[in-house]
Amino acid sequence: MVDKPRRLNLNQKYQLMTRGLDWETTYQSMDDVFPYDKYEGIKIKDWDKWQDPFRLTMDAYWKYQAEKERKLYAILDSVAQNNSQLNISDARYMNAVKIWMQGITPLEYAAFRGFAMLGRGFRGAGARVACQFQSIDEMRHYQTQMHAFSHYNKYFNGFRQFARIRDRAWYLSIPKSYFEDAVTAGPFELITAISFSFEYVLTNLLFMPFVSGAAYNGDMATTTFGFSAQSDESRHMTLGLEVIKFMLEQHEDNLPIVQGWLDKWFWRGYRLLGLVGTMMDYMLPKKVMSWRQAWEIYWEESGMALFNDLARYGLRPPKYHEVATKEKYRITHEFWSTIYQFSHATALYTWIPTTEELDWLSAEYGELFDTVYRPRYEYWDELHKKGERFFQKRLPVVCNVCQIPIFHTMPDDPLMNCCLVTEYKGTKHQMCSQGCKDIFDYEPEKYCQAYIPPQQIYQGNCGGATLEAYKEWLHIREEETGEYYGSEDHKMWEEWQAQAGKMAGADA
Amino acid sequence: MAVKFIGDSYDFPCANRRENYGSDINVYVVWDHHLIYCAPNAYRLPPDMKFRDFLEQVFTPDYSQHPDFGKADWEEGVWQLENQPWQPDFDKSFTENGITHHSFIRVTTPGLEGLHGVGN
Repeated sequence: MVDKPRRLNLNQKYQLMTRGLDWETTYQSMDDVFPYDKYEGIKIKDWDKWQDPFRLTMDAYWKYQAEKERKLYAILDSVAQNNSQLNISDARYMNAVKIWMQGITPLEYAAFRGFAMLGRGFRGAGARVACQFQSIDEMRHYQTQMHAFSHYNKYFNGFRQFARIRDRAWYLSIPKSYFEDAVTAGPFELITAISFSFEYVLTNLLFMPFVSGAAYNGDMATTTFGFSAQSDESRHMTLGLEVIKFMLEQHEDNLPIVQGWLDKWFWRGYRLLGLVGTMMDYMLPKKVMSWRQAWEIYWEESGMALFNDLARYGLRPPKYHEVATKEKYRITHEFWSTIYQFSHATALYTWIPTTEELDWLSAEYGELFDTVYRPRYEYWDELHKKGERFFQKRLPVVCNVCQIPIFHTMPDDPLMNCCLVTEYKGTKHQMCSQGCKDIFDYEPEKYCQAYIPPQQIYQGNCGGATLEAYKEWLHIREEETGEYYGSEDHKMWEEWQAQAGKMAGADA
Repeated sequence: MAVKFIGDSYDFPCANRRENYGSDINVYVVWDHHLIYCAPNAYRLPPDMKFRDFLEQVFTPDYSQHPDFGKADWEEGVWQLENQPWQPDFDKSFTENGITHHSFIRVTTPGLEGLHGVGN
C-alpha cells in the first residue's frame, strides 16, 4: 500500500526552503562564494540561529501579495473614474505628493536593488530568503506608488520627469545620497541602515505623516497604497530588529561596530526626515500633527523606550539624539525657508502659510516660532505682495555628508548657521553638524568622493554655471517652479472650485 | 578610523579638489544674523581677486536686498576665517588674506541683528 503524500505545514515548508535548499560548498570555498559578509568585521558563528518570525514561504507570499494587489488596483481604478483629484483638500497638498514621488519613490527602487544584493550576499540562507522577499516588496512599492501617482500626473505639474530630476536636482541628492551611502557599504551595514535604523526606528516618522496626511487631505490613491504597503512594512521592521539581535547575540566583538552604525544611520535618517517633517508642517493644508509632536511621540517616547529595551545587549541611544531633540522647534521652519527661497530651482511650488496656518504653527511651536520664523514669513509675504517674491540667486554651501544646504543652526544658537570644516587630502570639506562631521571623519576616503550639486555646478558639469543653464539641464520648465500662488496648479484648482461652485448654485 | 574595504587599496581623489575649478577657488561666505538668506553662499572666484572687489562686485548684489545692508559698515565688521577670529585687508587679494580653496568666511555687523533684531 502506498502512502498518500502528506501536505507540509508552513513551518516545514519554511525549514525546507531556508535550510534544506542550502548547502556548504565543496569545490569552491564559502568565502569565495560569499566574499562580502566578513570584511566589515561582523562575526557570525552560527547562521542557523537566524530566526525569521514570519516564516514566509513563496506560495504564501504570492497569495498574500496578489490579494493586496487586487484590492489596491480596484481602488486606483475608482480614483481615476471618479475624478478623485477634485476631492483633495487643496492643490497645495499635491506638493507633498510631488516630493514623495521625486524623493522617496526612487528610494523604494534603490531598496529593491539593495535587498537583491543582500539576497545574494549573506551566506545564511534564512537571511538571504528574508532579503529576497523584501527586495520584491520594494519593487512592488515602487510600482504601486508610480501607479497611484500617475493619475495626478494628468493634472498637476512636477511629476512628469521624476527619474531625471532624481538623478540631477540638488534637493533630491539628499535622499539619493542617503541610499547610495547605504548600498556602497557592506551588507551588514546596509541592512542595519535600512532595516533597523530607517524601517524600525524612524519609519513611523515617515509613513505616519504621509499616509495619514494623505487620508486627511482626501488623497485616496496614496492612502490606499500606504495601507497596501503596511503589512510589508511590518515584516521589514521585524527583519530590522531580528538583524540587530542576531548580530549582537552572535559575537561580543560585533557590539562596537553595530553601535557605530546606529550612531551614523540615526543621524543620516534624522537629517533626511527633516524633509518629511517640513512636508507635515507646511505642505499638508489639513494638518495631522506637527513635526515637534511626532518627534516627541515617535522618538522621545517610542524610540527611547526601544533603546531602553536594547540596553541589555549593551547598546546605548545613538549619538546626538539630544541635538535632534533640541532642533525639533526649528528644523522644519529652517527647511521650509530654504525650499521657499530656492523653489525656483525645484519641480515644486512653495508659499507663505495662511494666517490660520501660521496660528497653528505658533500654537505648536511657541515662542521661537513667534519671535523668529513668523516675522520672517510676514516679511517675505509683504515682499511678495509688492511684486518682489523673495528668491535666493546664489548657490548655497551644502553639507558634504547629508547634502542639505547648510541652513542648520548651532545646537544652542538658532540664529547662527552651523558650518564645520574637516581637511582631508589637502581639500577642506564642510559639514552642517557634529553628527555629519563625525560620519565624514570616520570614513573620509568615502565621503571625499561625494557628488555635491553646487560644487558640480561650479565645476561646469551641470549644463553651465548659472541658474538658468542649470534649470535647462534639469529640464525643469519655468511654469512648474517657484511660487504657488499664480502657478498653473493654482489657476487650475481655482477653475475647478469655480465650476463646483456654479454646479452647487445650479442645484440650489 | 579608516574605511574598510576589499582589495588592495581604497584611494580616490577628492571630488571637489582645487584643480577641478581651473585657476579659480571656491569661497564660502555668510553674513551672520541675516537668516532670510538661509545658508552661507558659495562662490567660484579667482584667488587674486581683491577682497574689496569681492565685497563690492559680488557680495553686494547678493545681499543688498536686505534692509540692514545700507547700514552695514564692513570695515567695522567682526570677521572669522574657518571659524577663527580674523581681520581681512580689503585691499589685498584672497590669497594674501589667507583665503584658500573652500575657505569659510563669516561676518557679523554689530548693531545689525537682522529684521526685528532676531537674526532674520
